[in-house]
Amino acid sequence: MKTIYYILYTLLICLAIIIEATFFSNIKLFGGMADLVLVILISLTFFLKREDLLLAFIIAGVLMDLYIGQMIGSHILAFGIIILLINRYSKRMIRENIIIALLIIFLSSIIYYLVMGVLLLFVGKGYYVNLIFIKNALFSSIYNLLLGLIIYPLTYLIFHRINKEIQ
Amino acid sequence: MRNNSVNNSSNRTKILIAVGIIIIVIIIRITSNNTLGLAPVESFMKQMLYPVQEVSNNTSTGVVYFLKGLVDYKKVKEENDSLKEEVGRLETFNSELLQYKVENDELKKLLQIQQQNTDLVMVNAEVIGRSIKDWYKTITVNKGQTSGIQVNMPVVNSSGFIGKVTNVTKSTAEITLLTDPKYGAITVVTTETGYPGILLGDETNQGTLQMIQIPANANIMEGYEVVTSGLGDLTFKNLRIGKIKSITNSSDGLMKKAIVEPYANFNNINFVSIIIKQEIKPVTQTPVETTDPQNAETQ
Repeated sequence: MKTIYYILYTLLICLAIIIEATFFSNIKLFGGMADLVLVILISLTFFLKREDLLLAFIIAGVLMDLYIGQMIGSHILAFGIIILLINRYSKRMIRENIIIALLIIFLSSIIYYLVMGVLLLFVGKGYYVNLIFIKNALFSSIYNLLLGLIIYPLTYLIFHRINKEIQ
Repeated sequence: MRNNSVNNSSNRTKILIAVGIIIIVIIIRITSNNTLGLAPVESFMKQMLYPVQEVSNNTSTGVVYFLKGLVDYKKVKEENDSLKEEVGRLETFNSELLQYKVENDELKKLLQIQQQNTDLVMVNAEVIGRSIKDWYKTITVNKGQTSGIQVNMPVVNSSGFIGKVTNVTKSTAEITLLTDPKYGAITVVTTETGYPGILLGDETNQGTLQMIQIPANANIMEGYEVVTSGLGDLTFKNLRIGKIKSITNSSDGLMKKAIVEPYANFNNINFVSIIIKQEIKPVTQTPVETTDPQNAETQ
């Protein structure tokens, strides 16, 4: 991947963080919040090579952690685990099948909250992990799935065009 | 040999990943409560993102409010409808109260008139109908023959003399107002000077009356009060009618004509008193409203 793409990707993640913090934080789905960065990252997983993906999740994780400013590394770890799992099976998946992609987005969101829950327990903030956390995690996953309906086709179209240009 | 090198490379990667995870977990643990000396980096990042974030926040707020408005539209609409209904109900209630107040004021004034004119026997009645055509100036009241009302009886309201009974049934009476040109003539005098005249309804439909047959040299002026003289059909004296608004000379120059503005608002009559009879007392009768001594002398 060219350096310019990394810069654009970094800017995209920054923009996603801002949109997440300003826009989606106001629109909750029964308490569940959208994870735009996560959805973008998962959508990219289907189209990037392993080496590019490695850098992509590190950039996204670092930016997220720096923005939040607490539990630095938690997002790198959570994204890393998710990317690892998806990448392991993504070659067997058909990119054109949006239902599979949406299912993966939903499951990845569940895994994300699972990892975060474990990390919260690990750092002694287990009081956050309660029934409300579980409910919010579930609704956030549904929210992400709905977001995926827009983000995944867009990513598909962008990469389809990029590949065409390269060819 | 080659397998060994591949295994070694794989093991190295696994070790690197494991070390990376351990480092990350340690950092997470440390930064869960304290920062890892990354505050300047964070602050730089936040500083860089701030302008975009501000714009995004402003835009988002607008969009969010719009979306929330769409979502809450039904609720807001229901609330609005309910509030409108409540406002309508209160307005009706308020207008009812205002109506009661007006009625109360009118009745009080009627009562006052009755108290001031103890010689007059009156029957109070409520207006239950008005002429549906503009050219008929009549009202219908809810008292009739059973209350002792007969044709030609004078009718007053809180402002003064307003007309006479022209039609009676058992329970209702039709009153033709003074402003109706078909009412006919009524003999009047000015309170101030006692000059007599004849009062007629106004065909111009302006709600005024005409006082005719006034001698050219009669001492009457604008603002003089006009009351009934007690002559002719109407035998009751001193019933207030109105004030002279303007005076004009008739074409022959022998007589004057005055336009009288009645006290009563003929478009808004709700209660009336029908004078059934005037009891003759040995002492001087009290006029309907305060009249000046000069007028008393003329009588």
